Amino acid sequence: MLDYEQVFQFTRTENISAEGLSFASGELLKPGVYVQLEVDLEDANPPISIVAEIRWVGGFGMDKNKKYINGVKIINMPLKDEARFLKYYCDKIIEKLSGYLKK
Amino acid sequence: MLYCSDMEDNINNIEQKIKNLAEWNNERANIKPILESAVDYHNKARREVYWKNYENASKFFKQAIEYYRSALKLNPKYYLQDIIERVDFVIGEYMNSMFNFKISDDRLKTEQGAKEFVEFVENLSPEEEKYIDLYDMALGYFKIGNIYNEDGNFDKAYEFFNRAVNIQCDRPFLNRDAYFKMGQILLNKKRFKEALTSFISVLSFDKGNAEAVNYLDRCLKELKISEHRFKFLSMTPNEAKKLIMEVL
Repeated sequence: MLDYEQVFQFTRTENISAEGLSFASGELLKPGVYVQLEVDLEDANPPISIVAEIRWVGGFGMDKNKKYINGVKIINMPLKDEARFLKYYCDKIIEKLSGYLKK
Repeated sequence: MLYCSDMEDNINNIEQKIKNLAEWNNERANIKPILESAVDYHNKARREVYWKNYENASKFFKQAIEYYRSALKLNPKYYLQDIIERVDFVIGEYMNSMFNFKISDDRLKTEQGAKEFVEFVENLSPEEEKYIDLYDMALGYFKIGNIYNEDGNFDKAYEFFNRAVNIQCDRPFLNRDAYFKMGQILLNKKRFKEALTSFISVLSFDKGNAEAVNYLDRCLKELKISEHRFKFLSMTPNEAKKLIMEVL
């Protein structure tokens, strides 16, 4: 993850949706701040680039490493990445739905 | 110069909008028939749920899910949000229908039915749990507890009454009844300290419950601590636990 102060951080994304995602960070990012995220979709291609806005910040929770949980709204991403992100997200939902067909 | 640049931006903007419109039309043509089928099956499932035909409903829900899945395989851009919302509804309703099937008719009265209910509830993911009413879940456990109680299988009955209260469904009358039954079971097993706490839990939901007070008096008598009766009667279950530790 690369924010506006050019600080690199590697972290894990959680709860990806069509409109946003959440990730953990070592430092507090204030709501309203724009961040540039490089997200590895683990599809053997380079990470996609996302410009997102911090919408909420959660506490440390159960995280032993004392990281903040940040919820972001996706603001923009390059067209080529948008198609890949869309496919990734649709595949996730398809996988989830497939589980219900087996029940 | 600025004027020219603005014009160029506007033209690019218009071109982009035309491109988007063409894309949207194309997506709509591909997705609409699939979505219509999905919605049709979803509505059929809802009708079956209304008539409590949960098995038939499940078949239709699955067909609706199959169509929503096919729609998502087209990686829709413009219809994505709409489909995601529909998917959330279909999953929620399907899970509810399956839950209602597990508690329908006399299913919980059979060993197999109770087992299937427990398996279903225990296998719910946190995301799925939000679709099921906690009260319905607790009531299911309570009913199973009652059946074991009537059959004289008190250990099992206690286990299920305990599950019912642990759900924390915020319905005082259900918690009151479950604690009452747990208290009776514990009293019969001569586990007086725990029985006493159970009856105090009953009173925390229903202060004037005469039966619970009678049982509480029996526990105090057995434990030979009747002099603390008034303290216990005004205590919370946690405070009562502490006092039991202090006086015994």
